[in-house]
Amino acid sequence: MMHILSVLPLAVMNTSSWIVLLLLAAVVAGIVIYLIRRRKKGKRICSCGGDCGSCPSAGLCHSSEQNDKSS
Amino acid sequence: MNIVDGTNLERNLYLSTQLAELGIPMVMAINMMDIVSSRGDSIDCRALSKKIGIPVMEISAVKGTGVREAIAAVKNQVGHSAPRMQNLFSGNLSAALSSLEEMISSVPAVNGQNRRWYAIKLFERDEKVLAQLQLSDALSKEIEQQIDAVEQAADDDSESIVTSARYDYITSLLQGVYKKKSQGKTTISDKIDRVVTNRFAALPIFVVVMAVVYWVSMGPLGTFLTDWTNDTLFAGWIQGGLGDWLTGMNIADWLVGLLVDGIVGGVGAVLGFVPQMIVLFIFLAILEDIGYMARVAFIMDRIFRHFGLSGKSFIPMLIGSGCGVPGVMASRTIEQDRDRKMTIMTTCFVPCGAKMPIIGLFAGALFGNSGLVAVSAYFIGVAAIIISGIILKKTRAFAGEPAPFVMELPAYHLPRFGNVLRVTWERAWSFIKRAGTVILLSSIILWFLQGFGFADGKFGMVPDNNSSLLAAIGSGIDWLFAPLGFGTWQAAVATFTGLIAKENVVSTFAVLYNYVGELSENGEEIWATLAASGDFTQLSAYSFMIFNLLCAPCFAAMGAIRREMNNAKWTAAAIGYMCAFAYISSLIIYQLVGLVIGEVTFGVGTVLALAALVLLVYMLLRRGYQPKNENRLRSVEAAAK
Repeated sequence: MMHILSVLPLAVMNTSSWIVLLLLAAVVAGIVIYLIRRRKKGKRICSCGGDCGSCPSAGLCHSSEQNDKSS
Repeated sequence: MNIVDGTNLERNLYLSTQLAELGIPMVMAINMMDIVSSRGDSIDCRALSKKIGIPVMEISAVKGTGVREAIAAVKNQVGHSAPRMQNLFSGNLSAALSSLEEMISSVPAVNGQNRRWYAIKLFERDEKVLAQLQLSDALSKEIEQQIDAVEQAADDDSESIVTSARYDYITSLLQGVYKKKSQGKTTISDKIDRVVTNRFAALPIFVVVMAVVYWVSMGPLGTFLTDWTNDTLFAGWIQGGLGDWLTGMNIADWLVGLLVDGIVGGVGAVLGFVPQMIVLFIFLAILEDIGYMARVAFIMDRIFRHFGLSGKSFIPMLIGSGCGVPGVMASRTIEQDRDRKMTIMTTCFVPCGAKMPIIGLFAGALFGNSGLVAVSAYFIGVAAIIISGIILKKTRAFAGEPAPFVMELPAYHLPRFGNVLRVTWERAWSFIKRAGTVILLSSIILWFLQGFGFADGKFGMVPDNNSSLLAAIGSGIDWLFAPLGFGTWQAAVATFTGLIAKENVVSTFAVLYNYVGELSENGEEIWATLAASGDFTQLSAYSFMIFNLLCAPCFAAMGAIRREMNNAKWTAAAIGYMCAFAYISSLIIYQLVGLVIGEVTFGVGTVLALAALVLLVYMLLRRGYQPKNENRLRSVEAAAK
């Protein structure tokens, strides 16, 4: 990771760039945490996004994921 | 709460008789009472309630009437006794079941509450219950003697005896309870079905309906909306505005590139298709809501049966047109193992919602927004299923008659505005959410991989993405796709990133083609860039699209296949089959059509395509494995006893 960061021209960045970079890093971290939490809850990222209340088979896939985890 | 369809009470009460045997308190809610009333029929819920000893409520889920009262009845029923259906079984059958109850009373898994249920299941020779109870040989023999005695007396098999008894009971239950004014009359649904499910007209009507849906969604209306979203909203306002603002703020160039070309370019390319998706989802939601989609399964049963599949296999495919994951999961309703496996292997051939942007991208970039591209993609998916059905049914693993298909056709009704909007919004929102999470992260990784690499022996940002890490990875595998007409590293990378999520194919192209800075001055983005890149001709684009529609689905769907197959070898076989089928299809399309139109010269690729075509035709026409006639064998065995 450090090697990757070392190739970015970070040393010559101004304050505004640093703020934008930190905001972006926060957004990415938020998404990663969100995805991990969803996975832990048994909600995988299928096209229904885990909220497939409208799908007639919603109970089929998402309840089974819950069951898989609990069993 | 046992929700029963009031428009088809006899058949729905069959499940109620089974539920009653579980010994659990129950409230029966008779749904669709609005339609029952509109037909002039009546159900005396009080009389029914008296007969079976549980509250029976009238509801209309669509209109929301009676729902609160039904929920209140459930709360009141807690701690009450289970329904009594004492006269359900009579005569020899009742006596035999009582004997079985006594016989199994000492079996550990059986208790006072479920004893009756186990006795019925044993009488029906339910394989799962037999395996679960692990009865001693002596007890099994004793039970078998009881069953044989009833079967000989009734001259029928045990399962049919139980079924007949249940229907006889339901008939007696409904006497004086269910008054059908419409008995024998032709309803509006019947009249519509005479045309829509007509033996000859059904399929052409279905083709026309789907063609219109895809043509409007991907054609003029959808394209107009997508053009505006892509050109004005994303390329003009967001990408342009954000770029200007960041540059004005003196933000580092590489960070501007990451945000504007990487993230907004990648995510925007996927979000640009949301309007088209919304139009498509509205149409599909209307077709589902009015009851047409249920008819489609019925129509397809007739066709699929010729190719070794049944209408039951079509339901997972129908669900799979939204998302492959629930589609694959829905295959678990198919009892026969071989039919279920075959359905799992073919369900993902139907273009899911996530594949729509790929179709939209190439239709827009190289086919002048032709709606025919989307229509053809849908029917190529159906053709792939039919061809696979024929080929696989001729193999030993899948040979045999498909299971009979019985389904209940709901009455037609006008679409509910609220229902259609809710279904459309939920589907569109989940698509948007994926773009904001998985696609956004993928876009950042892709931007990094295509913006960095080794130049002059040193690792760092590269001025040309042809010397990037992504180009190095893509170049290692692009030869695989050269016979299919898209042997560029960009196409190879897009194919593989599509495995994360199929929309990723589009965002990958957006990141890769935007990066090189070949955007036209008037702000036209990925469509124009892709067409101008020269990497694709119409034929190679079509070949790429077919390959990506038919090959292995996204990782989430592969996970679903793994769970449903419950076997690593079968999972690998299913995914391998999809990839091989996709490769052969694209090879034949690109090489042979290319040879005819003069785009491809005769060579090794053409020979391979011809060989693949001959192999495909042979697999379709060969006699294949002939299983013994299972039904006849069963009759012969029964007669021998």
